[in-house]
Amino acid sequence: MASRRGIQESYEYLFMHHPVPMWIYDTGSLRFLLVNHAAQAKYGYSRDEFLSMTIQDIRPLEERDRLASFVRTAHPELGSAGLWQHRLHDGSLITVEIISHTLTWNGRSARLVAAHDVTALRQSLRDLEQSQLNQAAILQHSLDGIITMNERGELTQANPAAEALFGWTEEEVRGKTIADLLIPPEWRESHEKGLKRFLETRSSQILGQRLEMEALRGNGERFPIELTVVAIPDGPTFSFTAFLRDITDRKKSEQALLDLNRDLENKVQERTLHLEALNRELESFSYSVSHDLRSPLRAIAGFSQALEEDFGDRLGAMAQGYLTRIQAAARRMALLIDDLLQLARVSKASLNPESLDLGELAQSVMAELEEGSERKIKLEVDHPLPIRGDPRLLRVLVFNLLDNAKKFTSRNPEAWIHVGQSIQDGESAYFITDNGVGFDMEYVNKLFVPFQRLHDNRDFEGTGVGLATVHRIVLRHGGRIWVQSRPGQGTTFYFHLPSGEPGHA
Amino acid sequence: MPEKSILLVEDNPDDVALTLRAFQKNQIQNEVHIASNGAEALDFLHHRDATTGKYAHPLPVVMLLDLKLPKVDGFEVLKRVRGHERTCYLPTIILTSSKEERDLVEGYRLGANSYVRKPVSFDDFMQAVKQLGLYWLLINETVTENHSL
Repeated sequence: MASRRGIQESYEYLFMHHPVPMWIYDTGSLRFLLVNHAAQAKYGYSRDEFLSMTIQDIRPLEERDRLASFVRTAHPELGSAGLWQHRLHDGSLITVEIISHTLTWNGRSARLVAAHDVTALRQSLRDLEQSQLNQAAILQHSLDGIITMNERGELTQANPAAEALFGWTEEEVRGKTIADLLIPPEWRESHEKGLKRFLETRSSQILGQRLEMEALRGNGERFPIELTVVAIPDGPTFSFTAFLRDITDRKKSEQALLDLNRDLENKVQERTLHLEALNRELESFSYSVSHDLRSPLRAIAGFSQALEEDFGDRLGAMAQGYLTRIQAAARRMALLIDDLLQLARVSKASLNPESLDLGELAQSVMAELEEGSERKIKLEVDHPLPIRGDPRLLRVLVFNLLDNAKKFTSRNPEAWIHVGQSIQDGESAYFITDNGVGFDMEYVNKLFVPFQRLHDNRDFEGTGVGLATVHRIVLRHGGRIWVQSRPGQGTTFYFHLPSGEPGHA
Repeated sequence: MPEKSILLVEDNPDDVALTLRAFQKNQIQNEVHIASNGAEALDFLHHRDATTGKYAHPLPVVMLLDLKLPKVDGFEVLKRVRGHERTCYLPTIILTSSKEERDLVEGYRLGANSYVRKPVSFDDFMQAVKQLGLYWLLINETVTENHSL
């Protein structure tokens, strides 16, 4: 008796200290008869609280009917009673897997229950299911083809976009190697080597990179694709997933763009060659003008003067006047040729911009203009007048403008010229102003056109090329030139040069 | 002392006539040899008598050289003149129509002593010839032929 009791005590001890929450309840009244320490700790009720409750009391309301019907039906001696929701003392719900066993306890029909908390496990399973759903949705609806192969290079999965891309179905090709399926023959060996090397060394030059290559469709057609391959640990080995995109259209656009650019470049080159040829022609033209056009003039001027000198006494006054006219005309034409050559030179000269002072330049040019001339003009120069441009072209510009001013002030005994800088329409502009005869602004659009003159040659000599040259120089520097004048009120030329690098006009 | 002659290399007969007239008007009496192209000029300067081995013509004291010439042009003449032992120091004045910069640069690069642009006005031309004659025939001292040999 004593030994039986001892055994019973031992079993009760084991029950009470078992790490799994356990209890015994009365299958009739559903009251708790015995509850172990683990259950008390897990559920948060004391022993006495448990013993005053039925097993319905640790159920949420919605489980109570199910429990009632479960208890009423017969059950095997020992077995799983499935998953149940239990409510803890603090009100929170847990999911438990119940294993129970029918027995007789102190003469009552009772049941021994062991409750495993599987809440966390269930949550993990639910998360996994969600993740699988997400993955399936991505695979199903991705615009990019997604295929997976195993470590032997065999296709294990292909999404609908991949099926559409290659023109086969996953079922038709599952288990075939990627190499045979879609890699062009010349790349198969390096694909297989790369796979083998990765499995041996875990290193790869293509994984995770954005690659462009050619692939084969099911019908053998080659087409360009863009792809990324990732290695996904799969147990002791890896699987490989590739994201693929058909870039046929993009390649076509790129090619079209390349073709277009090449055509454009060819055209530019053609035009450039043409322009260079024209330039060379122009150059040899002006070279020839420079040499050949002047010598007949020299003969005309020279021999008419010889005629005048040697036979002047035998010629009447009228014939002598004609000879004078011939010489003057020859000189004028020589001037015209020189001016034209200068205009041509200005157009083709290369620009080497430097910083200099416009006022100093004007004074030096004025000294040159006044050399051997009786008439002196008052030249007023603001200081400083920094300007940036090609020094030789700027000198030609200033020469022509000052020569112009000097010419058109020649009838004014109080002639002056002012060189300075002012703000015109919010833009800084240099100006050269004089108190000469001026002109009617109605004809201003003729001013910068070669050979167009606003004054009669009898009044003021000139070729009509000087201001065209000035205009060309300003344009070559990417600048602007304009003029203000009134008859009898003098003339002001304004010009603006951009401070940055000059462009080509 | 040998006569100080002038070699005028000019293909245009009008220019030859005007130049001679300018010499005459400026009382430049020196003998003027005329070569109407580059080959003639080089022949005049460098030709030796086949039997005696002596130069066929006396060395002029100055050469007036046009640039645009038939056959051998002025630059080629200048190059060969400078490359020849007899004429490497021969005072040479380029007398031409153009003042194209490339002509100026090339002329001086090849060793011209002076570059003069022929003016259209005969008065100006006279003036230029007067200055040239004064300087190159009277003032300037040249290396004589014996020294250059």
